Amino acid sequence: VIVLAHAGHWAVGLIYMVPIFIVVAVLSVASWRDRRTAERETSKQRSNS
Amino acid sequence: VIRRPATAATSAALAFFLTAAPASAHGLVGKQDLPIPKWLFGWAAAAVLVVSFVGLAVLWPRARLEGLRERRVLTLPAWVDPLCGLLGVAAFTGLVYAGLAGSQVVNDNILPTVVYVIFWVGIPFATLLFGDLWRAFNPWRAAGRAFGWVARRIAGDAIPDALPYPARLGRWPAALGILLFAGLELAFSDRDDPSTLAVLALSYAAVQLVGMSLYGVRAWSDRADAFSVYFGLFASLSPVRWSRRALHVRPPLSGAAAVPATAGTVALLCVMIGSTSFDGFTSSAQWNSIVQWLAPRYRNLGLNADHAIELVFFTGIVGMILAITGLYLLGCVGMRSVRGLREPALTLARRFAPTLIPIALAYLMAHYFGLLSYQGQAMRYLVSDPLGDGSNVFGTASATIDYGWISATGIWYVQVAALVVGHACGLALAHDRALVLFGDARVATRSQYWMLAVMVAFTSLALWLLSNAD
Repeated sequence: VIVLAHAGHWAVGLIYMVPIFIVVAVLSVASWRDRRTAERETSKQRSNS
Repeated sequence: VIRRPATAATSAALAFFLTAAPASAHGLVGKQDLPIPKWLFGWAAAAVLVVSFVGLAVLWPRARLEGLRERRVLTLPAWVDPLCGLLGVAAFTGLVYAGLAGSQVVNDNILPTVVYVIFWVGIPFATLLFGDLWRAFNPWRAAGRAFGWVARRIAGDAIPDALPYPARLGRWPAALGILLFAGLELAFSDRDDPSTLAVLALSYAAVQLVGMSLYGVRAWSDRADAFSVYFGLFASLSPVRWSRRALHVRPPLSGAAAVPATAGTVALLCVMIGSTSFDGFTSSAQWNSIVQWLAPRYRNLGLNADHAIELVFFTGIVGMILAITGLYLLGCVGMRSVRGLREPALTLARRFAPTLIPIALAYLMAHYFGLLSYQGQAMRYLVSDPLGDGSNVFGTASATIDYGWISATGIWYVQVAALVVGHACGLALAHDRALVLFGDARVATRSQYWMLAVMVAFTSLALWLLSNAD
């Protein structure tokens, strides 16, 4: 209960985490695109051979 | 009825810890006058790291740091190393004497200030600039070498060879030593007591001498002596390296890139970062609420109020170290998302461990710069009156601390700069190591995506912790 009493402080601290969320989101999209491109290249090479 | 005194005692212990710990840890800090909110500094620092990452990807296509040669710039006479050792032993003896025989009032005795300000914080700062000075003045190493020399003279070949230092042990004893020191500094209620500190210093010296006699001075100092290893890791960042007979210069960070991936290195660095982070966390309202929630539960286990609070603080230290370790391992697990990389995450964690060295130093500088700038000045009067008995050896016993030489705002800017530069150096080391491991610059950059996220998380965490300090 006491931990929850300071929920306001925890919430204010979250503002420091915004850059982490943004970086993680951008990097997730970037790695997903990298993986998709690599898979396409691999399947293209397979179909050519 | 029985619980009331216990509750009162717990409350008193709580009040002591929650007010005394931050004050002793960070020194006095005045009001900051910042043009933007503190969280915006966190966002800006994250942006700088992202830009640094892009800059590294574009402008750093080949590994540069590993295998760089150092240059010898000065040869030292043979007597310098023993002389420095002798001075180290003399200083250690004098400080232990002051702790045992001097005033037991914390601010009057030189020992607490030397241990927590000069030794723990000041030496890392000096190490970055001037190289591993501690190695020369280390009293345990000097005593161990002196004992060895005397024993060889007396017994000759009858002395058995040192045991081979177990590779599996690596830097684990050093990690344990730093964890125990962090426990002493941040959790132990008698941490400032001069005689306790003196006894602990003697006990630590005894353990080091036993270790050196078993495994040899060099093997033990380089891997198991907690403070030698601690200062040695920071010294790897310095452009200056001392050997027994010479002074060498090298490109900055190249020493860190050459730190061997010995067992226990990641643990040691995570203990260093985690314990500093915990010190910052103790100033937050969140920590206060955790203490108030956890302390009564430890009291219910049968501990008295003081011990319950000490255990809560030690639990906090361990928890923070585990959180930092988890964050770093997350970056290493992410690295494995690169196609074709089959190395286990723990092997990668070990190989990329040097990236944590500048972060550990940045955390230390950011958290303790205020303490060093203010409380460090106390040395001016303490050297004249080390025992607190009213003597005035150098005529500076009446000196005072000048709280005006740097403002709280100035300290904040130094802290932010240290964090940003430290994490950017960490990124550079990780990028360089990735180039060595993966060869291709594109793959190396891709492998570091998650390390970038970890660096941003470390920076944001550090700035959030610092924002709680006032």
